[in-house]
Amino acid sequence: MKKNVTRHLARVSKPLVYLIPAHLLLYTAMLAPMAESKGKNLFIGFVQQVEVSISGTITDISGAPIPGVTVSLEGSPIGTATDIDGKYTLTVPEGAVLVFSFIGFETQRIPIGSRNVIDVTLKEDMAALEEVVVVGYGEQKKINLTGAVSNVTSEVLESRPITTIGQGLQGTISNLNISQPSGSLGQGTSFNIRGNTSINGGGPLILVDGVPMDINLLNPSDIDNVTVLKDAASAAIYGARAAYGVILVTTKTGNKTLNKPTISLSTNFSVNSPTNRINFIDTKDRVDYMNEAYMRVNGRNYYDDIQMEALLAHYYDPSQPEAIVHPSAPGVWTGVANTNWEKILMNDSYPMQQHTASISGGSDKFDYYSSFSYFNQKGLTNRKLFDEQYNRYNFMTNVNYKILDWISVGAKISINSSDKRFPPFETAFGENSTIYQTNVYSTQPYKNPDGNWSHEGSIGNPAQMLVEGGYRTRDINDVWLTGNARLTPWDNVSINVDYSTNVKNQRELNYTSLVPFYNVNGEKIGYQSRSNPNGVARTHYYDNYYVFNAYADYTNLFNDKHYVKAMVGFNQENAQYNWVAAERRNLVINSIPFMTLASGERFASDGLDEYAIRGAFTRLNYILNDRYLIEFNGRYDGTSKFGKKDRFAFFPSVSLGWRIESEKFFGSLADRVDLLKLRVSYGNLGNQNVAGYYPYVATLNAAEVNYLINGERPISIYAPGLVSPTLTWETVTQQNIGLDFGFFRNRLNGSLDVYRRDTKNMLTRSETLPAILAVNEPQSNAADMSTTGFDLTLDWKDSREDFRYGVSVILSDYSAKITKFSNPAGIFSDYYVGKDVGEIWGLTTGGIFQSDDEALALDQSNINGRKRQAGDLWMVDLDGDGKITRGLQTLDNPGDMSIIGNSTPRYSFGFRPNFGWKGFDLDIFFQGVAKRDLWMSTLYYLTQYSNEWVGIAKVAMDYWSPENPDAFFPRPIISGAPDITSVQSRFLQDAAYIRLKQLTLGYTIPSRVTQRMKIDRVKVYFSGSNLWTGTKMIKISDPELSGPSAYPLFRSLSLGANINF
Amino acid sequence: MKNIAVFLFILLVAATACNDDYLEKLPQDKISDNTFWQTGADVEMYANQFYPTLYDARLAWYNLDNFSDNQAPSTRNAYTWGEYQVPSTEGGWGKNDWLQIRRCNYALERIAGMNRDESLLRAEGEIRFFKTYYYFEKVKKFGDVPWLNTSLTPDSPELYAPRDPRQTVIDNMMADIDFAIDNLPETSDTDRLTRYAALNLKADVALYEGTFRKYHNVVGGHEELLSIAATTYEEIIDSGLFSVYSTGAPEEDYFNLFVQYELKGNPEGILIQRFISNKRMHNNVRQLGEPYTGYNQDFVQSYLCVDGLPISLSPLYQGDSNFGDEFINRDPRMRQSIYHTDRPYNIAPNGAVYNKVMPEFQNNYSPTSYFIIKGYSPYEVDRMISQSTTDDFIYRYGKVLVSYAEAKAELGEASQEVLDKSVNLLRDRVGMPHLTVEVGFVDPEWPDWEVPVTPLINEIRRERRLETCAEGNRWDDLVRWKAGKLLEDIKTVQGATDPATDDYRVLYPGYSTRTWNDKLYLYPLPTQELALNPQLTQNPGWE
Repeated sequence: MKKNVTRHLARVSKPLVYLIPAHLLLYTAMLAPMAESKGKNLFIGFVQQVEVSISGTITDISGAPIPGVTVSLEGSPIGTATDIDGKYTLTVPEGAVLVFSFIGFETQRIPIGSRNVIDVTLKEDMAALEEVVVVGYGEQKKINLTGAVSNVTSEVLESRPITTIGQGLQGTISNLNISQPSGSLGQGTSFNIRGNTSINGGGPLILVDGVPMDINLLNPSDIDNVTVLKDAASAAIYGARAAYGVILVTTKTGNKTLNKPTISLSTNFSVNSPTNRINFIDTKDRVDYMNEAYMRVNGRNYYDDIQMEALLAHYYDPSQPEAIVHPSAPGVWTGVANTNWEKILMNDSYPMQQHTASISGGSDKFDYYSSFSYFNQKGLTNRKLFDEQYNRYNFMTNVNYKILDWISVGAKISINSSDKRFPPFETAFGENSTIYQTNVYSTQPYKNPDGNWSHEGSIGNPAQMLVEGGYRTRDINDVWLTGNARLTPWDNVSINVDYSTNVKNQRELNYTSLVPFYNVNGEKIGYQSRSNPNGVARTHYYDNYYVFNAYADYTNLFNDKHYVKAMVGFNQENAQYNWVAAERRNLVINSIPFMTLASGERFASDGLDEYAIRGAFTRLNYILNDRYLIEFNGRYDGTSKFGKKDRFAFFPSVSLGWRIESEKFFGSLADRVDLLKLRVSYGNLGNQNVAGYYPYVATLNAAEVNYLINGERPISIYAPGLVSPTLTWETVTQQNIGLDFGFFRNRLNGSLDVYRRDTKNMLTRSETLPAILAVNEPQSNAADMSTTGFDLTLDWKDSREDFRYGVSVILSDYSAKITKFSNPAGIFSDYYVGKDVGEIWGLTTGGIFQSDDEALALDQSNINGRKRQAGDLWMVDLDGDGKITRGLQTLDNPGDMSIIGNSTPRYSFGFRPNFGWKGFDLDIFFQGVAKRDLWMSTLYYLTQYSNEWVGIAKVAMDYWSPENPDAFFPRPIISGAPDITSVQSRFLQDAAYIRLKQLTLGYTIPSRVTQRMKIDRVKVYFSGSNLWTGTKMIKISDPELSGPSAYPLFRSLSLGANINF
Repeated sequence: MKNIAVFLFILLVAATACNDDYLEKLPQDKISDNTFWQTGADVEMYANQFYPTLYDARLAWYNLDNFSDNQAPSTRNAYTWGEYQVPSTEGGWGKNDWLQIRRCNYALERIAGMNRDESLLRAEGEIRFFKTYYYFEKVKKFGDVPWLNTSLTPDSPELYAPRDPRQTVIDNMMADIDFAIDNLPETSDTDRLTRYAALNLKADVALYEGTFRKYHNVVGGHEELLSIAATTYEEIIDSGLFSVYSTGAPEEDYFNLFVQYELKGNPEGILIQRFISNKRMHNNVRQLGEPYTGYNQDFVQSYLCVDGLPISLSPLYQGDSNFGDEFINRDPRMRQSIYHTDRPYNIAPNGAVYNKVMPEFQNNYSPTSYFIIKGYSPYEVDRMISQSTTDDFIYRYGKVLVSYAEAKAELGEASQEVLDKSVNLLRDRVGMPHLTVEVGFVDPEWPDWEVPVTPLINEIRRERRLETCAEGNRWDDLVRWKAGKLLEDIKTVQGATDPATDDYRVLYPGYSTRTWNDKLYLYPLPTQELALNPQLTQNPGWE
């Protein structure tokens, strides 16, 4: 609650240049000096009557004191404000009535009676009518918005422990779709607003205090509020980068209203465990499975008799050896173990912690906010083998100084540093994939009987690789410096100029150390692939980014009914990306990874890319009678990514609003309806998001050739791909109709938006051309797409005495269709007019043949040339031609293929009830997707049918046999089963899910206890994330991920405390 | 002061807004087309990119013979067992498969406008050599293919044209390779292409196409091609630059030839590729240690005995009921191509030697028990992953000799003189009796060729099979001789005698024999290409 208060104060303390209703202006004018007076009776001298001194403490329902509450005598200018401890003293005439008021809280009138002490508990005002929202280059009252804009405040972000802003925003804003490719350390989230963007991707523009930053590096607790501009009209001010929406993040600034600095500490300790774990088959299962699968193709067992005997001997009696010397491979060990590799390689749980300290304060001339935070996360990789970890340090300082009445200047310094240490480079240790190594099976022992690390042929030992193979590190130092000036030369004009510079340094190290293989005599007989030669590679990325913004606005209210606001501005940004990479092999000492201490080949390379944008923009607002709203946005934008004559374009948008509840005809209904606003918008935006920085320029690349000419590897020059010299902007037209409403004294709030987004001239590869073209088709403005959808937000909040509760529901949906694409052949793997984006074409699986006769009766030779048998899949002959074919895979000739699903997530929802009782609060948050089909990456899912070398998940043992006729998987086969691994209905996954994303139970220790320790507020909480998931997905993968081989997401249980001084 | 501030603000915006240079960003770390194509050296540098493809095409070359009647892999070869499906894309006709030809054309278009000095002509010769090399692969795989002379753009009519007949393509290839022959140097100190590499390629194309047309009875003109092959091979032979590698050790020379650490300067190397520690290394030795394939019974039986007679006739033949027996009195190339217990299988860094006990059926490394040891260095250092530095032949004089003999025999011009300057030199290396024009015997086990051949051609084909085994050309040979039916022989899926059963090892017990289908002589085109270009037609049998 205290946080709310400070937030409100912070907002009030900002210079107010937008229109404020008269009563509020007065309010504000009074508040500032009162706050400063610290309870002195400023107006006491005016009073003539018999006086009594009244004192008391003002608290919120949680019992926290509220500073800055106005306590005034009804009908007079006499009053005061509560001090930092929420206390006041006021001398008033007998029998007076006191009015206690504070922004964001319901005002209370209390006759003093005969009391001398009046303690008041203020209830939050659900209305928060005058809430102000950050919009592009300015702020706007929420009530006056005409575009589709959503925002969340730090309240939502601070109510639970979050490690990245993406995690905090998931499920809080309708149609802000957040996804995480994996749960690997330091992995950020990616954002999408309102679904399908362009064929070639593209996401929202994300700005932090007006500059584009990597928000995954931010400390979430530095964030004051987040605004999402969803429709073209509200985003248009950002022009060519805003086609797919804008996310505006505002960081915290100093709190001027309290003369005492506020210190906040928060700490959090979590225990994480993967949401999903694949169990792999043990040795007994492996012997059965592989023999059966091999028998299918080659008519004999996979394991020979000697090996099989030893495998089973060890399996049934673990005292039997884990490896033998096989006569066919003398000199090396042959593994016959029963090793649980996933247990060896992965931790059951791993810790995470986050600590933040901030200090904030100020006076009317000066304010400051500084914070420091530290975040540490360990990884899933077994700590005993490898210390995988990620650290993040954030430092931010925001200061503003008012030099003259009409000039204030500010500076912001933000330093985001992170370092990560993770396993060495090896095909199996992809940074975003599970550390379970693809090619390791239970039969390989952890160590050979002689105590040396084991290996199997050329397959190494992943545990040894983790221990001995070296490591990779990535250190990022991201420094932002912003200077700004704000000029208010005349009452209704303000001018803002800011300039930011960013230096981002990223250093990567890849240290490869020798991982030897041993023979039966304990001699080194070779090294694991990629570990030899050993060596060290360093890459240094050095990025510079400069942003300049200048804008001025003019606001006025004429005749009390014509409100006008006009803004013009200018923005330019340029970026330079440099990198240098160097590598040297053959370390003199295996354990010292420095190039100066290496003797082998040296490799060096470097590169440079640049780009720049520049734009001028304007926004005009007109409001008539607080009721009819119109807004115009326009931006003239240029980008370096296109050729000179295609470089600039103008993008206009317009939006209208109508506050119906203010109309007279609304009559008595107005008592129950607090807000009913209809919004309509139409806008045009450009999109400059294309692959590469110079898409219209063809260049020749140079690279070293893997061949020896005169004993050296020469370089060669490579022909460029095809480019279209006339590339230009994609244009995105967006139409939006929205309704905002508030009922029952604003206890029920909500909004509903319906939109259509037409993306025209999408920059994508053109029509598919015959393969003899030999390179990718050039990018051109070739395709159109139309996306439609809706966003719905509903909020209910109420309180009764000590009990308060609320429920937020969000629901959104989108789908997209291709409306233009040249595809005369009608190839359905390509885009075609009328294609639903995300559609999945495949065969329809009828089931599994139960007898050989049944299998032979259907001609499936076109999908698998092998003779069909019982246990094989049978496909449905959709076109009734008696055989199963894929035709030409065109719309005219699809064979037996059809659309079997769609990967677009439909009906994303968030459901968030919260309850509070005295000092306790409980926040529950469910999030999910109601409908989505997923053709999952096949590793560990279907690869056992195409690759005999991969690990096999336990679920695969549910395969067909005469004894198991209802199996999910068909009969095993060692390889050559394209019918099984190809897209079909049977193995399509239903990736709909509902997930208990977060459950937080907090307790705020009563202030009377904490006050004794000179602490304003202490909140302790327990929180769990990803605690429960409801899904029909097969149990080897997470519905939020692309398949079983991704680094799993984690479930965390945490304990934490927030302390304010 | 206020007004000054506002004025400055406006000035600042105005000053920066109208400067278009700000948005003019061009790549600084790349070369542009306009600046690159200047001299022959530039084109030579461009041509470097094609060299690695000489190796890529032969990567783990012994695996190419899994298609043929020489070898039997652990897991049945899907293509020859008739289980290959027409793909929708790729399948040898994907964008990447046509990329090298595009890259050649890209350079040829630009060379046309450059100063035609000697260095440029030499570089152009390299590019035309490579273009021929890539088209050779295309013709072998698909038969008719589109002949492309430019790097295509989306507007090129060639994209929607029908395939060109193989005759046209071969004629164009011949023109390109003749240009290369005329302009490439006699020798190269830097291991680049030479005139003799180009002659070798030209002769190989001519022999392939000549025999293909002859045995498949298509197009016509095979006599001319065969005579081009013969004269071209002859030119290589008559140059006197090359000879059969021999140190006078018939029991080891043939084996040693394929495990040389330095082939530069080897008399048998027409074009070689080098591997040097830490600069460029390969993994073939390691893969040969676990090849998952082996020679089959049919191949092993084709070795002659030391008396020059086939096993069906020679009294020296000891039978094959015991693994070691069948090596006795056989062509010495047999022990130098197939692992025998006497040979060190593994030599550890400390000098310890391991020998395998044979036969060995215990795992899938070599299911027939006939381990391929051509190119297999037993030293552990060479078996380390991607650490081997044994050099590799791209064009080997030994193969030229068998090809020459074949071309001459097909023309009916194989005199004893021809045999003595070709195959008999190879027999001399291993101490085998000479082949004579009359052959001197009738082998009842001569393959049952679909198109019958003379005893001499039979023996020349045998010589080719044994001399070039596991070098990746046997499948091509079967295709051009129209000999796919040989794959139906049950011996092609049998291994050595298994002591457990006293019978030949049966590789795929559930699958007795394969049935040949003539459609397999050419690969199918991917279906998407047929959909995109209605002028393309599918190869016969794949419709």
